[in-house]
Amino acid sequence: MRSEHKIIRALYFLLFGAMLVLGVFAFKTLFIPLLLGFLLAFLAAPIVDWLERRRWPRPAAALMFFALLFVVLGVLLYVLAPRLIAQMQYIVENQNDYLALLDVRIATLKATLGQILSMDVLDGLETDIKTVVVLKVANIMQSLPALLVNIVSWGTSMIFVPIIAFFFLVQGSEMKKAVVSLLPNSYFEMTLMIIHQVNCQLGGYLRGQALDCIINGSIYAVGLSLLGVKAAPLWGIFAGLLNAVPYAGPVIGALPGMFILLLDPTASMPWWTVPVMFTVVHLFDSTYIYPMTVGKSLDLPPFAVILGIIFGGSVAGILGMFLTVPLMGMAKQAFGVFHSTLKSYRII
Amino acid sequence: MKKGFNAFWSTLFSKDDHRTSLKETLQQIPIFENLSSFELSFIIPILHKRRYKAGELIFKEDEAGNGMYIVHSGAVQVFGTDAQGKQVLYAELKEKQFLGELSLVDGQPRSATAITQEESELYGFFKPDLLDLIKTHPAIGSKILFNLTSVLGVRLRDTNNQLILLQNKLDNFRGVDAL
Repeated sequence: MRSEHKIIRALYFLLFGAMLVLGVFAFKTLFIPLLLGFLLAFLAAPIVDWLERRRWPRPAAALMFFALLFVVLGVLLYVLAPRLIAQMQYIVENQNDYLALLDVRIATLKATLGQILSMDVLDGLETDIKTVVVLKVANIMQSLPALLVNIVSWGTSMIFVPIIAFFFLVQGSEMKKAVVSLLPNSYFEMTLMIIHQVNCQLGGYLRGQALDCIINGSIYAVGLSLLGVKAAPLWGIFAGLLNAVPYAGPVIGALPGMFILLLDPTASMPWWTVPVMFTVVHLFDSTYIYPMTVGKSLDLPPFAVILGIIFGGSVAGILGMFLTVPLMGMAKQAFGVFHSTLKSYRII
Repeated sequence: MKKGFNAFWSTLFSKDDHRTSLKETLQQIPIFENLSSFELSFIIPILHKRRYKAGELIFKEDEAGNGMYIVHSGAVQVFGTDAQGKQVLYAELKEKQFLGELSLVDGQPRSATAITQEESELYGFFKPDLLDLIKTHPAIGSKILFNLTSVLGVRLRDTNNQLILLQNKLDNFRGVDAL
Protein backbone atom coordinates (compact mmCIF):
# COMPACT_ATOMS: atom_id res chain seq x y z
CA MET A 1 0.00 0.00 0.00
CA ARG A 2 1.25 3.47 -0.88
CA SER A 3 2.17 5.65 2.07
CA GLU A 4 -0.35 8.43 1.22
CA HIS A 5 -3.09 5.74 1.16
CA LYS A 6 -2.01 4.67 4.63
CA ILE A 7 -2.27 8.27 5.84
CA ILE A 8 -5.73 8.67 4.27
CA ARG A 9 -6.85 5.36 5.84
CA ALA A 10 -5.50 6.40 9.23
CA LEU A 11 -7.24 9.79 8.94
CA TYR A 12 -10.48 8.10 7.90
CA PHE A 13 -10.47 5.78 10.91
CA LEU A 14 -9.44 8.67 13.18
CA LEU A 15 -12.38 10.70 11.89
CA PHE A 16 -14.70 7.73 12.30
CA GLY A 17 -13.47 7.21 15.89
CA ALA A 18 -13.86 10.92 16.68
CA MET A 19 -17.42 10.89 15.29
CA LEU A 20 -18.19 7.81 17.37
CA VAL A 21 -16.86 9.45 20.57
CA LEU A 22 -18.78 12.65 19.75
CA GLY A 23 -21.90 10.61 19.10
CA VAL A 24 -21.54 8.83 22.45
CA PHE A 25 -21.19 12.19 24.26
CA ALA A 26 -24.05 13.74 22.31
CA PHE A 27 -26.34 10.82 23.01
CA LYS A 28 -25.20 10.31 26.59
CA THR A 29 -28.79 10.60 27.71
CA LEU A 30 -29.70 7.80 25.32
CA PHE A 31 -26.93 5.47 26.48
CA ILE A 32 -29.00 3.65 29.12
CA PRO A 33 -32.12 3.34 26.87
CA LEU A 34 -29.79 2.09 24.08
CA LEU A 35 -28.28 -0.52 26.39
CA LEU A 36 -31.68 -1.58 27.74
CA GLY A 37 -33.09 -1.68 24.18
CA PHE A 38 -30.20 -3.91 23.13
CA LEU A 39 -30.82 -6.25 26.10
CA LEU A 40 -34.59 -6.30 25.45
CA ALA A 41 -33.96 -7.20 21.80
CA PHE A 42 -31.87 -10.19 23.01
CA LEU A 43 -34.72 -11.33 25.25
CA ALA A 44 -37.36 -10.87 22.55
CA ALA A 45 -35.41 -12.52 19.70
CA PRO A 46 -36.60 -16.14 20.27
CA ILE A 47 -40.27 -15.08 20.37
CA VAL A 48 -39.90 -12.92 17.24
CA ASP A 49 -38.01 -15.77 15.49
CA TRP A 50 -40.79 -18.17 16.49
CA LEU A 51 -43.46 -15.89 14.99
CA GLU A 52 -41.35 -15.38 11.86
CA ARG A 53 -41.16 -19.16 11.50
CA ARG A 54 -44.96 -19.10 11.42
CA ARG A 55 -44.76 -16.82 8.36
CA TRP A 56 -45.16 -13.52 10.19
CA PRO A 57 -43.18 -10.70 8.60
CA ARG A 58 -40.40 -9.77 11.05
CA PRO A 59 -41.63 -6.19 11.75
CA ALA A 60 -45.15 -7.53 12.47
CA ALA A 61 -43.67 -10.23 14.73
CA ALA A 62 -41.68 -7.60 16.67
CA LEU A 63 -44.79 -5.39 16.97
CA MET A 64 -46.78 -8.35 18.28
CA PHE A 65 -44.09 -9.03 20.93
CA PHE A 66 -44.25 -5.42 22.14
CA ALA A 67 -48.06 -5.47 22.13
CA LEU A 68 -47.96 -8.58 24.37
CA LEU A 69 -45.28 -7.01 26.58
CA PHE A 70 -47.35 -3.84 27.05
CA VAL A 71 -50.45 -5.89 27.87
CA VAL A 72 -48.52 -7.88 30.54
CA LEU A 73 -46.93 -4.71 31.99
CA GLY A 74 -50.30 -2.91 31.88
CA VAL A 75 -52.02 -5.73 33.77
CA LEU A 76 -49.20 -5.81 36.35
CA LEU A 77 -49.40 -2.04 36.77
CA TYR A 78 -53.21 -2.18 37.00
CA VAL A 79 -53.01 -4.82 39.71
CA LEU A 80 -50.01 -3.51 41.66
CA ALA A 81 -50.22 0.29 41.37
CA PRO A 82 -53.40 0.73 43.50
CA ARG A 83 -51.95 -1.62 46.13
CA LEU A 84 -48.67 0.31 46.20
CA ILE A 85 -50.43 3.69 46.44
CA ALA A 86 -52.70 2.35 49.23
CA GLN A 87 -49.63 0.96 51.00
CA MET A 88 -47.80 4.31 50.80
CA GLN A 89 -50.89 6.20 51.99
CA TYR A 90 -51.19 3.77 54.88
CA ILE A 91 -47.52 4.32 55.84
CA VAL A 92 -47.89 8.15 55.66
CA GLU A 93 -51.13 8.18 57.67
CA ASN A 94 -49.84 5.80 60.33
CA GLN A 95 -46.25 7.01 60.65
CA ASN A 96 -46.81 7.92 64.34
CA ASP A 97 -48.06 4.40 65.04
CA TYR A 98 -44.96 3.04 63.31
CA LEU A 99 -42.70 5.21 65.45
CA ALA A 100 -44.58 4.06 68.57
CA LEU A 101 -44.12 0.46 67.45
CA LEU A 102 -40.44 1.20 66.92
CA ASP A 103 -40.31 2.20 70.63
CA VAL A 104 -41.84 -1.14 71.58
CA ARG A 105 -39.44 -3.05 69.35
CA ILE A 106 -36.44 -1.17 70.75
CA ALA A 107 -37.67 -1.80 74.32
CA THR A 108 -37.88 -5.54 73.56
CA LEU A 109 -34.41 -5.42 72.01
CA LYS A 110 -33.07 -3.55 75.05
CA ALA A 111 -34.52 -6.12 77.39
CA THR A 112 -32.79 -8.87 75.45
CA LEU A 113 -29.47 -7.04 75.05
CA GLY A 114 -29.57 -5.64 78.64
CA GLN A 115 -28.13 -8.94 79.85
CA ILE A 116 -25.02 -8.40 77.67
CA LEU A 117 -24.50 -4.60 77.32
CA SER A 118 -24.60 -1.75 79.89
CA MET A 119 -27.69 0.50 80.05
CA ASP A 120 -25.66 3.63 79.08
CA VAL A 121 -24.61 2.02 75.81
CA LEU A 122 -28.19 0.86 75.09
CA ASP A 123 -29.66 4.32 75.85
CA GLY A 124 -27.18 5.89 73.42
CA LEU A 125 -28.05 3.25 70.82
CA GLU A 126 -31.79 3.91 71.25
CA THR A 127 -31.33 7.67 70.71
CA ASP A 128 -29.19 6.98 67.64
CA ILE A 129 -31.73 4.59 66.09
CA LYS A 130 -34.65 6.96 66.74
CA THR A 131 -32.76 9.95 65.32
CA VAL A 132 -31.79 8.01 62.22
CA VAL A 133 -35.31 6.66 61.63
CA VAL A 134 -37.03 10.03 62.22
CA LEU A 135 -34.50 11.77 59.96
CA LYS A 136 -34.87 9.12 57.26
CA VAL A 137 -38.67 9.27 57.35
CA ALA A 138 -38.53 13.08 57.13
CA ASN A 139 -36.02 12.84 54.27
CA ILE A 140 -38.16 10.38 52.35
CA MET A 141 -41.27 12.54 52.78
CA GLN A 142 -39.38 15.66 51.65
CA SER A 143 -37.80 13.94 48.67
CA LEU A 144 -41.03 12.29 47.45
CA PRO A 145 -41.92 15.09 44.95
CA ALA A 146 -38.36 15.08 43.55
CA LEU A 147 -38.48 11.28 43.35
CA LEU A 148 -41.75 11.48 41.39
CA VAL A 149 -40.18 14.00 38.97
CA ASN A 150 -37.18 11.65 38.57
CA ILE A 151 -39.48 8.71 37.90
CA VAL A 152 -41.37 10.73 35.26
CA SER A 153 -38.14 11.84 33.50
CA TRP A 154 -36.78 8.29 33.75
CA GLY A 155 -40.04 6.99 32.31
CA THR A 156 -39.77 9.48 29.41
CA SER A 157 -36.33 8.23 28.43
CA MET A 158 -37.59 4.64 28.91
CA ILE A 159 -40.10 5.25 26.08
CA PHE A 160 -37.12 4.92 23.74
CA VAL A 161 -36.27 1.42 25.01
CA PRO A 162 -38.96 -0.50 23.08
CA ILE A 163 -38.36 1.69 19.98
CA ILE A 164 -34.63 0.93 20.06
CA ALA A 165 -35.31 -2.77 20.75
CA PHE A 166 -37.73 -2.82 17.78
CA PHE A 167 -35.02 -1.51 15.44
CA PHE A 168 -32.44 -3.95 16.80
CA LEU A 169 -34.90 -6.80 16.26
CA VAL A 170 -35.96 -5.82 12.76
CA GLN A 171 -32.75 -4.30 11.38
CA GLY A 172 -30.21 -6.16 13.54
CA SER A 173 -28.86 -8.36 10.75
CA GLU A 174 -28.54 -5.36 8.37
CA MET A 175 -26.69 -3.42 11.08
CA LYS A 176 -24.33 -6.37 11.63
CA LYS A 177 -23.78 -6.69 7.86
CA ALA A 178 -23.07 -2.98 7.54
CA VAL A 179 -20.49 -3.09 10.37
CA VAL A 180 -18.81 -6.20 8.95
CA SER A 181 -18.70 -4.71 5.44
CA LEU A 182 -16.38 -1.98 6.77
CA LEU A 183 -13.75 -4.52 7.83
CA PRO A 184 -10.81 -5.64 5.68
CA ASN A 185 -11.12 -8.99 3.86
CA SER A 186 -8.62 -10.71 6.16
CA TYR A 187 -10.66 -10.04 9.32
CA PHE A 188 -14.31 -10.01 8.31
CA GLU A 189 -14.93 -13.77 8.44
CA MET A 190 -13.35 -14.02 11.90
CA THR A 191 -15.41 -11.02 13.09
CA LEU A 192 -18.62 -12.63 11.82
CA MET A 193 -17.79 -15.73 13.83
CA ILE A 194 -17.06 -13.68 16.96
CA ILE A 195 -20.34 -11.74 16.60
CA HIS A 196 -22.28 -14.97 16.12
CA GLN A 197 -20.73 -16.73 19.12
CA VAL A 198 -21.06 -13.67 21.37
CA ASN A 199 -24.71 -13.42 20.24
CA CYS A 200 -25.35 -17.05 21.15
CA GLN A 201 -23.55 -16.85 24.51
CA LEU A 202 -25.05 -13.52 25.53
CA GLY A 203 -28.52 -14.44 24.31
CA GLY A 204 -28.42 -17.67 26.29
CA TYR A 205 -27.04 -15.93 29.38
CA LEU A 206 -29.54 -13.03 29.30
CA ARG A 207 -32.57 -15.20 28.60
CA GLY A 208 -31.48 -17.64 31.32
CA GLN A 209 -30.94 -14.77 33.75
CA ALA A 210 -34.36 -13.29 32.91
CA LEU A 211 -36.06 -16.66 33.42
CA ASP A 212 -34.18 -17.09 36.72
CA CYS A 213 -35.38 -13.63 37.86
CA ILE A 214 -39.01 -14.42 36.90
CA ILE A 215 -38.99 -17.80 38.70
CA ASN A 216 -37.30 -16.39 41.82
CA GLY A 217 -39.52 -13.29 41.81
CA SER A 218 -42.63 -15.49 41.72
CA ILE A 219 -41.34 -17.71 44.57
CA TYR A 220 -40.40 -14.64 46.67
CA ALA A 221 -43.83 -13.09 46.00
CA VAL A 222 -45.63 -16.28 47.11
CA GLY A 223 -43.31 -16.62 50.15
CA LEU A 224 -43.80 -12.99 51.23
CA SER A 225 -47.59 -13.32 50.79
CA LEU A 226 -47.59 -16.42 53.01
CA LEU A 227 -45.61 -14.49 55.64
CA GLY A 228 -48.26 -11.73 55.52
CA VAL A 229 -46.03 -8.98 54.07
CA LYS A 230 -48.09 -6.10 52.64
CA ALA A 231 -47.77 -5.56 48.82
CA ALA A 232 -45.94 -8.92 48.61
CA PRO A 233 -46.09 -9.23 44.75
CA LEU A 234 -44.33 -5.87 44.40
CA TRP A 235 -41.53 -6.81 46.81
CA GLY A 236 -41.36 -10.23 45.15
CA ILE A 237 -40.74 -8.60 41.74
CA PHE A 238 -38.19 -6.26 43.36
CA ALA A 239 -36.33 -9.22 44.94
CA GLY A 240 -36.59 -11.21 41.70
CA LEU A 241 -34.97 -8.40 39.70
CA LEU A 242 -32.22 -7.99 42.30
CA ASN A 243 -31.55 -11.71 42.07
CA ALA A 244 -29.48 -10.93 38.93
CA VAL A 245 -26.92 -9.28 41.22
CA PRO A 246 -24.91 -12.02 42.93
CA TYR A 247 -24.22 -11.92 46.70
CA ALA A 248 -25.70 -8.48 47.42
CA GLY A 249 -28.93 -8.95 45.40
CA PRO A 250 -30.81 -11.44 47.63
CA VAL A 251 -29.67 -9.55 50.79
CA ILE A 252 -31.02 -6.19 49.52
CA GLY A 253 -34.11 -7.94 48.14
CA ALA A 254 -34.99 -9.28 51.61
CA LEU A 255 -34.73 -5.88 53.38
CA PRO A 256 -38.15 -4.35 52.47
CA GLY A 257 -40.09 -7.44 53.57
CA MET A 258 -38.05 -7.63 56.78
CA PHE A 259 -38.72 -3.97 57.69
CA ILE A 260 -42.42 -4.23 56.81
CA LEU A 261 -42.85 -7.18 59.20
CA LEU A 262 -40.75 -5.39 61.83
CA LEU A 263 -42.88 -2.24 61.72
CA ASP A 264 -46.32 -3.62 60.83
CA PRO A 265 -48.49 -3.75 63.99
CA THR A 266 -50.85 -6.23 62.33
CA ALA A 267 -48.05 -8.63 61.27
CA SER A 268 -48.54 -12.17 62.53
CA MET A 269 -45.05 -13.45 61.69
CA PRO A 270 -41.77 -12.28 63.26
CA TRP A 271 -39.34 -10.24 61.03
CA TRP A 272 -36.65 -12.94 60.97
CA THR A 273 -38.90 -15.30 58.95
CA VAL A 274 -38.16 -13.14 55.85
CA PRO A 275 -34.35 -13.69 55.83
CA VAL A 276 -34.94 -17.38 56.63
CA MET A 277 -37.33 -17.67 53.65
CA PHE A 278 -34.87 -15.79 51.39
CA THR A 279 -31.99 -18.07 52.47
CA VAL A 280 -34.02 -21.21 51.71
CA VAL A 281 -35.16 -19.85 48.30
CA HIS A 282 -31.60 -18.72 47.46
CA LEU A 283 -30.21 -22.18 48.31
CA PHE A 284 -32.91 -23.79 46.16
CA ASP A 285 -32.07 -21.33 43.36
CA SER A 286 -28.32 -22.00 43.52
CA THR A 287 -28.81 -25.77 43.59
CA TYR A 288 -31.65 -26.32 41.10
CA ILE A 289 -33.03 -23.22 39.29
CA TYR A 290 -29.83 -21.31 38.33
CA PRO A 291 -28.01 -24.37 36.90
CA MET A 292 -31.10 -25.14 34.77
CA THR A 293 -31.77 -21.60 33.54
CA VAL A 294 -28.38 -19.89 33.25
CA GLY A 295 -26.28 -23.06 33.33
CA LYS A 296 -22.60 -22.38 33.77
CA SER A 297 -21.98 -20.07 36.66
CA LEU A 298 -20.53 -16.64 36.02
CA ASP A 299 -17.70 -17.37 38.43
CA LEU A 300 -17.10 -13.69 39.12
CA PRO A 301 -15.02 -13.24 42.28
CA PRO A 302 -17.00 -11.59 45.15
CA PHE A 303 -14.48 -8.73 45.31
CA ALA A 304 -14.99 -7.96 41.58
CA VAL A 305 -18.77 -8.02 42.10
CA ILE A 306 -18.58 -5.53 45.00
CA LEU A 307 -16.23 -3.24 43.04
CA GLY A 308 -18.56 -3.51 40.03
CA ILE A 309 -21.61 -2.55 42.12
CA ILE A 310 -19.78 0.47 43.61
CA PHE A 311 -18.58 1.53 40.13
CA GLY A 312 -22.05 1.05 38.58
CA GLY A 313 -23.64 3.03 41.40
CA SER A 314 -21.23 5.94 40.96
CA VAL A 315 -21.75 6.03 37.17
CA ALA A 316 -25.51 5.48 36.81
CA GLY A 317 -27.06 5.30 40.29
CA ILE A 318 -29.36 2.42 41.27
CA LEU A 319 -29.82 1.32 37.64
CA GLY A 320 -26.03 1.23 37.28
CA MET A 321 -25.71 -0.93 40.40
CA PHE A 322 -28.31 -3.29 38.99
CA LEU A 323 -26.85 -3.47 35.45
CA THR A 324 -23.12 -3.61 36.20
CA VAL A 325 -22.88 -7.25 37.32
CA PRO A 326 -24.88 -8.70 34.41
CA LEU A 327 -22.77 -6.49 32.10
CA MET A 328 -19.61 -7.83 33.74
CA GLY A 329 -20.97 -11.32 33.08
CA MET A 330 -21.61 -10.43 29.45
CA ALA A 331 -18.12 -8.95 29.10
CA LYS A 332 -16.61 -12.12 30.58
CA GLN A 333 -18.56 -14.32 28.15
CA ALA A 334 -17.63 -12.07 25.19
CA PHE A 335 -13.96 -12.06 26.16
CA GLY A 336 -13.97 -15.88 26.38
CA VAL A 337 -15.40 -16.16 22.85
CA PHE A 338 -13.03 -13.50 21.52
CA HIS A 339 -10.01 -15.28 23.00
CA SER A 340 -10.96 -18.74 21.65
CA THR A 341 -11.80 -17.39 18.15
CA LEU A 342 -8.54 -15.46 17.88
CA LYS A 343 -6.76 -18.67 18.90
CA SER A 344 -8.60 -20.71 16.25
CA TYR A 345 -7.53 -18.15 13.61
CA ARG A 346 -3.97 -18.41 14.96
CA ILE A 347 -3.82 -14.68 15.68
CA ILE A 348 -2.81 -15.19 19.32
CA MET B 1 -32.67 9.55 -28.30
CA LYS B 2 -33.46 5.91 -27.71
CA LYS B 3 -29.98 5.35 -26.28
CA GLY B 4 -30.50 8.16 -23.75
CA PHE B 5 -33.86 6.73 -22.75
CA ASN B 6 -32.31 3.28 -22.09
CA ALA B 7 -29.46 4.81 -20.12
CA PHE B 8 -32.01 6.58 -17.92
CA TRP B 9 -33.88 3.37 -17.16
CA SER B 10 -30.71 1.34 -16.67
CA THR B 11 -29.53 3.86 -14.06
CA LEU B 12 -32.87 3.81 -12.32
CA PHE B 13 -32.96 0.03 -12.07
CA SER B 14 -29.22 -0.57 -11.71
CA LYS B 15 -29.62 -2.10 -8.22
CA ASP B 16 -32.30 -4.49 -9.41
CA ASP B 17 -30.16 -5.45 -12.39
CA HIS B 18 -27.39 -6.35 -9.99
CA ARG B 19 -29.78 -8.40 -7.89
CA THR B 20 -31.05 -10.19 -10.99
CA SER B 21 -27.51 -10.95 -12.06
CA LEU B 22 -26.69 -12.26 -8.57
CA LYS B 23 -29.88 -14.33 -8.64
CA GLU B 24 -28.75 -15.83 -11.95
CA THR B 25 -25.38 -16.66 -10.41
CA LEU B 26 -27.03 -18.26 -7.38
CA GLN B 27 -29.33 -20.35 -9.58
CA GLN B 28 -26.18 -21.86 -11.14
CA ILE B 29 -24.80 -22.89 -7.74
CA PRO B 30 -25.87 -26.47 -6.82
CA ILE B 31 -26.41 -25.44 -3.17
CA PHE B 32 -29.13 -22.98 -4.19
CA GLU B 33 -30.58 -24.94 -7.11
CA ASN B 34 -34.35 -25.62 -7.00
CA LEU B 35 -34.85 -22.52 -4.84
CA SER B 36 -37.52 -20.27 -6.30
CA SER B 37 -36.88 -16.64 -7.12
CA PHE B 38 -38.95 -15.73 -4.03
CA GLU B 39 -36.85 -18.04 -1.84
CA LEU B 40 -33.63 -16.61 -3.27
CA SER B 41 -34.82 -13.16 -2.20
CA PHE B 42 -34.30 -14.34 1.41
CA ILE B 43 -30.77 -15.54 0.58
CA ILE B 44 -29.46 -12.41 -1.17
CA PRO B 45 -29.71 -10.11 1.89
CA ILE B 46 -27.65 -12.51 4.01
CA LEU B 47 -24.79 -12.86 1.53
CA HIS B 48 -21.67 -10.77 2.15
CA LYS B 49 -20.25 -9.06 -0.91
CA ARG B 50 -16.43 -8.82 -0.85
CA ARG B 51 -14.05 -7.37 -3.42
CA TYR B 52 -10.52 -8.81 -3.71
CA LYS B 53 -7.46 -7.60 -5.54
CA ALA B 54 -5.46 -10.00 -7.72
CA GLY B 55 -3.35 -12.33 -5.57
CA GLU B 56 -5.25 -11.57 -2.36
CA LEU B 57 -5.77 -14.34 0.18
CA ILE B 58 -9.39 -15.41 0.69
CA PHE B 59 -8.71 -18.08 3.30
CA LYS B 60 -5.76 -20.10 4.47
CA GLU B 61 -5.31 -23.84 5.02
CA ASP B 62 -5.64 -24.93 8.70
CA GLU B 63 -7.32 -21.68 9.74
CA ALA B 64 -10.79 -21.78 11.25
CA GLY B 65 -13.47 -21.83 8.53
CA ASN B 66 -16.91 -20.36 8.78
CA GLY B 67 -18.59 -20.63 5.38
CA MET B 68 -18.43 -20.76 1.61
CA TYR B 69 -17.68 -18.24 -1.12
CA ILE B 70 -19.38 -17.84 -4.49
CA VAL B 71 -17.31 -16.39 -7.33
CA HIS B 72 -19.46 -13.70 -8.92
CA SER B 73 -16.70 -12.29 -11.11
CA GLY B 74 -12.97 -12.90 -11.51
CA ALA B 75 -11.03 -16.10 -10.83
CA VAL B 76 -9.79 -17.99 -7.77
CA GLN B 77 -7.07 -20.60 -7.31
CA VAL B 78 -7.36 -23.25 -4.61
CA PHE B 79 -4.13 -24.75 -3.26
CA GLY B 80 -3.41 -27.60 -0.89
CA THR B 81 -0.29 -29.03 0.69
CA ASP B 82 0.90 -32.51 -0.37
CA ALA B 83 2.62 -35.14 1.79
CA GLN B 84 5.99 -33.53 1.08
CA GLY B 85 4.72 -30.15 2.26
CA LYS B 86 4.66 -28.70 -1.28
CA GLN B 87 1.85 -26.42 -2.42
CA VAL B 88 -0.30 -28.15 -5.04
CA LEU B 89 -2.93 -26.46 -7.21
CA TYR B 90 -6.27 -28.20 -6.59
CA ALA B 91 -8.60 -26.11 -8.71
CA GLU B 92 -9.11 -22.91 -10.67
CA LEU B 93 -12.54 -21.45 -10.21
CA LYS B 94 -14.29 -18.98 -12.47
CA GLU B 95 -17.54 -17.09 -12.02
CA LYS B 96 -20.65 -19.02 -10.94
CA GLN B 97 -18.47 -21.54 -9.10
CA PHE B 98 -18.05 -21.89 -5.35
CA LEU B 99 -15.53 -22.94 -2.71
CA GLY B 100 -15.25 -23.65 1.01
CA GLU B 101 -18.70 -25.29 1.32
CA LEU B 102 -17.35 -27.91 3.78
CA SER B 103 -16.99 -25.20 6.42
CA LEU B 104 -20.74 -24.62 6.37
CA VAL B 105 -21.20 -27.93 8.12
CA ASP B 106 -18.07 -29.37 9.68
CA GLY B 107 -16.53 -26.69 11.92
CA GLN B 108 -13.06 -28.05 11.07
CA PRO B 109 -10.13 -25.89 9.91
CA ARG B 110 -9.94 -25.06 6.18
CA SER B 111 -8.55 -27.94 4.11
CA ALA B 112 -7.06 -25.65 1.43
CA THR B 113 -5.85 -22.14 0.71
CA ALA B 114 -7.74 -19.88 -1.70
CA ILE B 115 -6.17 -16.92 -3.51
CA THR B 116 -7.66 -14.67 -6.17
CA GLN B 117 -6.03 -14.93 -9.57
CA GLU B 118 -7.35 -11.56 -10.75
CA GLU B 119 -9.51 -8.79 -9.33
CA SER B 120 -12.60 -10.64 -8.16
CA GLU B 121 -15.97 -10.15 -6.56
CA LEU B 122 -17.06 -12.91 -4.22
CA TYR B 123 -20.16 -13.46 -2.13
CA GLY B 124 -19.73 -15.11 1.25
CA PHE B 125 -22.41 -17.37 2.70
CA PHE B 126 -21.67 -18.16 6.31
CA LYS B 127 -22.69 -20.69 8.91
CA PRO B 128 -24.25 -18.21 11.41
CA ASP B 129 -26.51 -16.84 8.65
CA LEU B 130 -27.43 -20.37 7.54
CA LEU B 131 -28.30 -21.25 11.16
CA ASP B 132 -30.45 -18.11 11.46
CA LEU B 133 -32.15 -18.96 8.16
CA ILE B 134 -32.92 -22.47 9.41
CA LYS B 135 -34.50 -20.91 12.52
CA THR B 136 -36.61 -18.30 10.73
CA HIS B 137 -37.30 -20.00 7.37
CA PRO B 138 -36.94 -23.76 7.97
CA ALA B 139 -38.30 -24.73 4.54
CA ILE B 140 -35.58 -22.74 2.71
CA GLY B 141 -32.94 -23.88 5.22
CA SER B 142 -33.90 -27.53 4.67
CA LYS B 143 -33.63 -27.17 0.89
CA ILE B 144 -30.14 -25.68 1.23
CA LEU B 145 -29.04 -28.39 3.68
CA PHE B 146 -30.42 -31.08 1.34
CA ASN B 147 -28.56 -29.55 -1.62
CA LEU B 148 -25.42 -29.25 0.47
CA THR B 149 -25.68 -32.92 1.41
CA SER B 150 -26.06 -33.79 -2.29
CA VAL B 151 -22.93 -31.79 -3.15
CA LEU B 152 -20.98 -33.49 -0.37
CA GLY B 153 -22.38 -36.85 -1.52
CA VAL B 154 -21.11 -36.23 -5.06
CA ARG B 155 -17.71 -35.25 -3.64
CA LEU B 156 -17.65 -38.44 -1.55
CA ARG B 157 -18.52 -40.61 -4.57
CA ASP B 158 -15.77 -38.90 -6.60
CA THR B 159 -13.27 -39.50 -3.80
CA ASN B 160 -14.35 -43.17 -3.57
CA ASN B 161 -13.98 -43.58 -7.34
CA GLN B 162 -10.54 -42.01 -7.23
CA LEU B 163 -9.61 -44.30 -4.36
CA ILE B 164 -10.79 -47.35 -6.29
CA LEU B 165 -8.78 -46.19 -9.33
CA LEU B 166 -5.71 -45.70 -7.18
CA GLN B 167 -6.23 -49.12 -5.53
CA ASN B 168 -6.53 -50.74 -8.98
CA LYS B 169 -3.39 -48.99 -10.15
CA LEU B 170 -1.58 -50.11 -7.01
CA ASP B 171 -2.81 -53.72 -7.49
CA ASN B 172 -1.69 -53.65 -11.14
CA PHE B 173 1.65 -52.22 -10.12
CA ARG B 174 2.08 -54.94 -7.44
CA GLY B 175 1.06 -57.60 -10.05
CA VAL B 176 3.64 -56.34 -12.54
CA ASP B 177 6.21 -56.18 -9.79
CA ALA B 178 5.47 -59.83 -8.73
CA LEU B 179 5.92 -61.05 -12.33
